[in-house]
Amino acid sequence: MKRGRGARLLRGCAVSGAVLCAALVSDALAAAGDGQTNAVLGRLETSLSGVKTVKTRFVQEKRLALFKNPLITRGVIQVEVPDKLLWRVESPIKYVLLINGKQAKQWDGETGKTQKIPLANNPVFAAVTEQLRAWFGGHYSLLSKDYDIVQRADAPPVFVFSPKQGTPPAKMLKGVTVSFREDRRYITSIQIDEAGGDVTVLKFEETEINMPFASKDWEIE
Amino acid sequence: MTPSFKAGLQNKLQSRSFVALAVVLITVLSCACLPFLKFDGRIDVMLPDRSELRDIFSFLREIQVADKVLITFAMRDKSADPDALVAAADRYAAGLDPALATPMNTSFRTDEVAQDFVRLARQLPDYTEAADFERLAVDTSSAGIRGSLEALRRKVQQPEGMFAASAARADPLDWNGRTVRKIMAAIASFGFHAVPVQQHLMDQEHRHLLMVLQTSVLMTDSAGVRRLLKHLASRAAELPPGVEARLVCGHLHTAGNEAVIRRDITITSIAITVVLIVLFFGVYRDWRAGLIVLIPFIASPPALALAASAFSSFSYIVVGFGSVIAGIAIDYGIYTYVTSRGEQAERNLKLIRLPVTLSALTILCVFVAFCFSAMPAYRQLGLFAALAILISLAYAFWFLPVFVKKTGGAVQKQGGGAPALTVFEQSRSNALKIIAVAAVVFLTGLWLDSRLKFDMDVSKLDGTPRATLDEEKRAMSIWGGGESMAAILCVDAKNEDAALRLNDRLYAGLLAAGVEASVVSSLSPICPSDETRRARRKAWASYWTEEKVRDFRENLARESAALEFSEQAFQSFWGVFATWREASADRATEPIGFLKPLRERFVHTQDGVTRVTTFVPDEPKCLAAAQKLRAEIPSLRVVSRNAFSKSLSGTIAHEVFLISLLAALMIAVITVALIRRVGMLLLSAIPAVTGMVWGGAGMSLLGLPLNISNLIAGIILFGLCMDYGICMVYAHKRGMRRDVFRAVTLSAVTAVLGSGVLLLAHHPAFFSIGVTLVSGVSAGYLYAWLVLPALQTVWPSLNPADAQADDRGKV
Repeated sequence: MKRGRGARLLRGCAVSGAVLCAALVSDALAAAGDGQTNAVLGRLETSLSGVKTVKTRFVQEKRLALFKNPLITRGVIQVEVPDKLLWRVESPIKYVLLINGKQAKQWDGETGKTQKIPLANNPVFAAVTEQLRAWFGGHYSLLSKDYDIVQRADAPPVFVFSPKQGTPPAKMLKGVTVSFREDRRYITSIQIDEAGGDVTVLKFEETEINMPFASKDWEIE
Repeated sequence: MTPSFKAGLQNKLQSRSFVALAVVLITVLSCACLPFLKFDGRIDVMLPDRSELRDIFSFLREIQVADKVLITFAMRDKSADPDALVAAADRYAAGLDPALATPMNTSFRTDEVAQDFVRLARQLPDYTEAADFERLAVDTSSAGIRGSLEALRRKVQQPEGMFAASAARADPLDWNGRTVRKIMAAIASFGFHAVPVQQHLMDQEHRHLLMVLQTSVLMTDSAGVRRLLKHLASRAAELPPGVEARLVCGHLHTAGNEAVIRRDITITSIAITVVLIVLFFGVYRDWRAGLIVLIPFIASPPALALAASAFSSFSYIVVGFGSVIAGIAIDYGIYTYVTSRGEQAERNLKLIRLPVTLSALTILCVFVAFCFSAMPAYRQLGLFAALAILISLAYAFWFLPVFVKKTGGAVQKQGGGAPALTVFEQSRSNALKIIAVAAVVFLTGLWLDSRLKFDMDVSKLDGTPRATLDEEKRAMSIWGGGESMAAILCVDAKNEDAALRLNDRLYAGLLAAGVEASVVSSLSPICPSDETRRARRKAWASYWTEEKVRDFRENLARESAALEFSEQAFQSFWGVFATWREASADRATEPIGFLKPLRERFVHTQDGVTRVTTFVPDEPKCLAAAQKLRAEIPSLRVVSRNAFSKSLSGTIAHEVFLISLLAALMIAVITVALIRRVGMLLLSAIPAVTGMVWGGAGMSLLGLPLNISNLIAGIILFGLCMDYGICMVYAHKRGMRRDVFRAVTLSAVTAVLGSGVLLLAHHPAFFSIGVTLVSGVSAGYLYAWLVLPALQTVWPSLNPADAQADDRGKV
């Protein structure tokens, strides 16, 4: 029992150390390239501002300490500016999440039931959906409040968002790496590195931009 | 004492300069004393001393917003701008004077909350109730584990479960999640809607920010309240133009009540002075008539100073009765003035002294009876009024005659007298008509009284401005919290843990009686007592036998392997599980930071006694369950708003009954001792009884319910109308009807005007008094003027006139 506690303590220290180092490196890089990064982010947001709707297929790979093997999930994501987002999982499970303004709706293929979730009454759910909206809606400058942003590559652009110490995301995340398309009009992948070592990679394929949605595209069942 | 010295002293006492100087000195000295005496606007002075009602009232004050100020920040254009609100609130808080108010910590650092959840996870057995063990058996079976793990696997593949995997390693079966949900459900039952945003509390739309200030300024400290509100207003004035700050606190009630009372006192005092001066100058065209008005006013400061010095704090509400007392006390000046102007002034003065003193004694009986009340407000009123009447009487007999100019019967020539009186006397048929009409009017009054409703809720006599009450409703609509309408259950003990233990028993008892957990706002599910925690840890340890643990381990290993969880997936869970099993029953409970503000709301320690409150709907089912538990928990107090109102009603009715009985006894003794004739006594009582009947009928006509203030006014009304009866009956006997009728008329007019100005008052208590006195005095006067002579005409033996009586008013 004591050995277990000690091991957890050591692992905690190691994780904290790694987070601290990452934060320090990020700070240093951020200080050096702050102006340049902001300029690139600004350009990105400008080119993204012309994007009103997005429909893209995704492949999500989760490498979690909880499972022996990675979990692969496939599905479709739809975004409509300003605050509509649909996340449809097609395999291996059937599941849909629709966020529309202050309301969220879930459909679970396992039970066949739809559940309405007012975000106002569910702060945890609201926080997660806010992050999803920020990442998929391209509101990157808003994220600068909680994240240090470093540009890792220029063509195509790749940014690393490291949560600032003391902010709520810092409890959960080491960093989020966002890669953009060559034409900078949408993202090609997002990699989320959690503080506990779990990694989630989302790759986007067959992305369609500014295509009109029919109302049935937002139906969740 | 030599005759020459006595005569010299008498001359001195009757010299204008000496009298004027003495009165001025007394008035100035008493006015100088007033700033050193304490006055307040509390309404609990209407509650009996050392009674449960007072205790409950103090308790209600103590546990609600007594020392808290709630400030709601919002954008003036109603937009949602959380950053601007946070900046404005921080700036507002930074400039607060810590001696007056300090912001309470309503926000938590993210890392502190995370640590709290770790501590909470360690306390899982403390929150495991007896009923939970059945579910535990299902949870740890193969089927239960499979169900939980499948749900977990699905969850981590969903977007909102993005970060759920790490937490699931320490909680695969969602036991901690269940504990947190249990606590959240208990918190949700409180009905508050605030959510933490950027270290502050905001509404869910992020349009409002809530700041709670703690203040050491007591609600009863008028000067402190003014200072506090001024300071908060100055802080609000420095906010950015787009942001507003709205206040909700008990202090606004104090300030509002005081402002209304002060305004009412100022307006009524000015109005009565102007009206009376116009009346007296209009009737007598003599500046000295103004001295009649002056008497109750110069009698008030010494009376108030003496009365207030007898109490630790004196009520502004009682001071507000000043105009009513003035309306009563002015009578003595009127009688003295009227008789002092006649041809045989000195003789008339001597003759009038007996009925006037008798009148004063009658009303004194009422106010002396008030002095024996258990209610401080009644005692204060009794002493203040009794002193004011005695001083007014002394001034009327000593001060006024010195200054009155003798006219030698000018009054009789000027005034029309009471010609109708003569007509009524001479015609028996007219007298019978009057009696018949009077009977109908009396019965109508009784019928109206039968329709009266009683409302003894003192809180409705609160003069708090509408704007303050609206602001409270608005804040409640934003932040929730309907506790003010709930019944309060309270247990107390000498220490916190003992009180929490009783609170656990109360909560368990309520649920056992069928009250739904969702309507009970209790600390028990959130912070159980140490004893309850120990018992639950013990139950946990007993439940987890080696065999059960082995089965659970095997089931989890087998099912997790089947669903491709890694071998080390739940290592951290088993670490926590070991701490649950190893936890000693006597281990000290680690405090959970984010639950601290909730504890403060429910736990109140004062004078070595800890009280823990629980809120339930003020409905019969919950109250019956709570009342039943009183047998098991003797310290349990059930405070129901409805029951409070009913109990108050009963207490007041009892109190008024006792005062009335005492006053009636004293009046009977004095009047019988001084009048000594049954007929005269019966006749004297008629205006008083009629006044009482129509005092209530006036309220009924306006559709107003009878409240505590009416009962006080009713007793004054009885004394006043008794005066009219005594004076008119005496006047008939002594043949002084013209002078006395004039004096009674003036007295009634001044009393009606004195109380009539209360109809201009904003304070509900003053307004009710105004209605009762105006209608009652009017009825009493009309009966004294018209019905008494009619009765004496029809039944002359009731009050035969003295043989030497001269009914021209000259005596």
